[in-house]
Amino acid sequence: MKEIIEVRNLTKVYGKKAAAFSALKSVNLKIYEGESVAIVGKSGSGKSTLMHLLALLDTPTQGQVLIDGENASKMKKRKVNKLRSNRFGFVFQQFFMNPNDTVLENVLLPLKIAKVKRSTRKKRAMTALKIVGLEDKAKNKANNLSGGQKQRVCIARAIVNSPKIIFADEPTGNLDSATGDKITDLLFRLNQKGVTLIIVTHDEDLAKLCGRVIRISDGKIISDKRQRAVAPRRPAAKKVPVARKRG
Amino acid sequence: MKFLDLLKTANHNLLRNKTRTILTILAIFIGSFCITTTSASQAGISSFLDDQSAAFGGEGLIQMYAKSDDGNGIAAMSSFSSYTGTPKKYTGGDKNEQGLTAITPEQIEKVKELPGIIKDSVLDGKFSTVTYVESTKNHEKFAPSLNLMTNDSVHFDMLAGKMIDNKSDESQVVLPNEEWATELGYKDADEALGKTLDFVWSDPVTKELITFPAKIVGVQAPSVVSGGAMVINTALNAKLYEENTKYLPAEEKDKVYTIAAEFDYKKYSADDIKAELDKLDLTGITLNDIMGQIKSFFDAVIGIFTIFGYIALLAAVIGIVNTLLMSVQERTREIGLMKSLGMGRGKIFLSFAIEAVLLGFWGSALGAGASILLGTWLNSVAHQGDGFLQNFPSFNIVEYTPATVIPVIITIMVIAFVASVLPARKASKKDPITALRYE
Repeated sequence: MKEIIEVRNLTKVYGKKAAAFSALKSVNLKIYEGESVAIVGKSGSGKSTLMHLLALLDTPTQGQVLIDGENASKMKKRKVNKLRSNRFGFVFQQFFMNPNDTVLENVLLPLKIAKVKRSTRKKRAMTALKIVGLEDKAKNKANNLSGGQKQRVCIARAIVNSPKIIFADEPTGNLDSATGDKITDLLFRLNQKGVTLIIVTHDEDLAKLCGRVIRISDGKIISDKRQRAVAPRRPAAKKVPVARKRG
Repeated sequence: MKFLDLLKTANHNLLRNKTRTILTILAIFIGSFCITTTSASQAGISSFLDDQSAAFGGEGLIQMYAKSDDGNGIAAMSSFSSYTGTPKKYTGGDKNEQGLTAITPEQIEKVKELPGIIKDSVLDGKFSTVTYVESTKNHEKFAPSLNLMTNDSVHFDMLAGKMIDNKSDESQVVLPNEEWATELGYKDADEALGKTLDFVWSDPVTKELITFPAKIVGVQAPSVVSGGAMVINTALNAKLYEENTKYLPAEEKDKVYTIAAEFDYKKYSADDIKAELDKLDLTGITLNDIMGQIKSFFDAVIGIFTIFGYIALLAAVIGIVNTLLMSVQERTREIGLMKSLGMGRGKIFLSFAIEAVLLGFWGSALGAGASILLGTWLNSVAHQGDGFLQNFPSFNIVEYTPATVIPVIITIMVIAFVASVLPARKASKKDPITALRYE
């Protein structure tokens, strides 16, 4: 298997001198293409910091993050931005949508940033919305959606530019269990299609579904186990439409 | 993001908080309105003065005064000494009541011989007066002021007919405006042409009335340069002057205080001529000198108004900075999201800068537009019927040209961009993670 992200001796220190606090301490890690990885830990354990560093949203105090074998700290800013917009997808716990824009506009945003041609944008955004089952909500204001719908819009936004890796930060954290299951189902379906999934969570049920669980405590990896992933529960009530290959 | 998308996004963001956007635009609007209006009135006045002096010609016209002991004749003439009430000692000699020194016949002869001076254009300043003029049509009597004119390079804006001819032996007169024609009993300016106007001099000793008939050869269009005086030709002037000075001793008859002439302005500069005149103890003043003084006065007044306009704009700029800072604050999470989605710092900066430039554009364009509407209305009101500028059809109080309006808009847009630098930098520097955590 091809390694997609490698982390060497990664350290992150917040604050200076007396107030310095090490959020991560010499972490080493390799993530392979197509894996589903859960990063589990209590709040304050450093799991979010690790994800931010993996996603190149933050720069490490020490150590290296290699994307496809290339040292990210040696990349030009423009390339890092390009990498983020073309290769990564993000799903946040708090959704982070522009509440007064339409659902479609929110999903379009990454394509705009990636300078995708105007004519193909809408088509691709609609395809992504179809995958999450919200194509009929395209013209609605993002603010008028329920929490589960919002998170589905976020997933649509994360996949709209066909990313290689999806970073999900507590994707089910703000949702009830039934809605959470739907979201989980969506994410793992993407994983089955070859998208690398990196989920930060403290939800053990969600972690069980992943092929690999990395436990973090106090800025250190305390365990890193591959497991046979439990197939995600299918939500009994409403079936999510089957994902079609996007053209 | 592509530029068009940035532009659309910026526009979209402005529409998100309409009240704030409108208030900011309003502030810029006021500044732009002031600046556009003042620059348009400057253009209006200066193009009016240019038109008037261009229509008048007179590039080669020069007026001469004898230099007096205390500097030069013009200074003495324009000084306010006669209004201060300070008693002025009689110093005798050749000075007249205005403090001007008489020009000697020798000086006049030398002026005529100066290189560059057109010899037969020299008017020797023997200005005649008349007791009254009488219409041969309705026999009404009027007291006009008379004026002489060289007529080589001077072109009057004529309503009808032509200018007087100083080479003609026939007595000629040009009426200052159409009102004179109607007061003299004629239907209009055209009807007065070729008719006779009697110039009447009452002999101070014999009380005899001496009449000099003169032909009306033209009627002038209103003009600020030539004023409201009747222009008579030298033939008529000489006859009148002869009668005016009949009882004066010979040396007094020849006393003149100012002479006018034309010089060959194509070959000689006004400064050359002035230098030559200086050697003859004469001071020369050209039409351009006078127009220059008028213009610089207007420029100074308008300059002050423009400064006020820019002060208003400065307040607007602070408004822009404030609006954008609030916008950056409100959109912290959105900025964080866009950054995490791979939008570069430059693009974030640009999106806020474009917002400011758009504010600047709308404010300035609307301000300029309002100024144009108001100014055009004012111009039409001023020229309408008995409007206050009815006599000056060519004078627009305000004059708008792309050359005056567009620079104002562009300047304000540039200023708006400069105002955006601080907030836009603040936005672009935001750390995506901190920004996303922002509540």
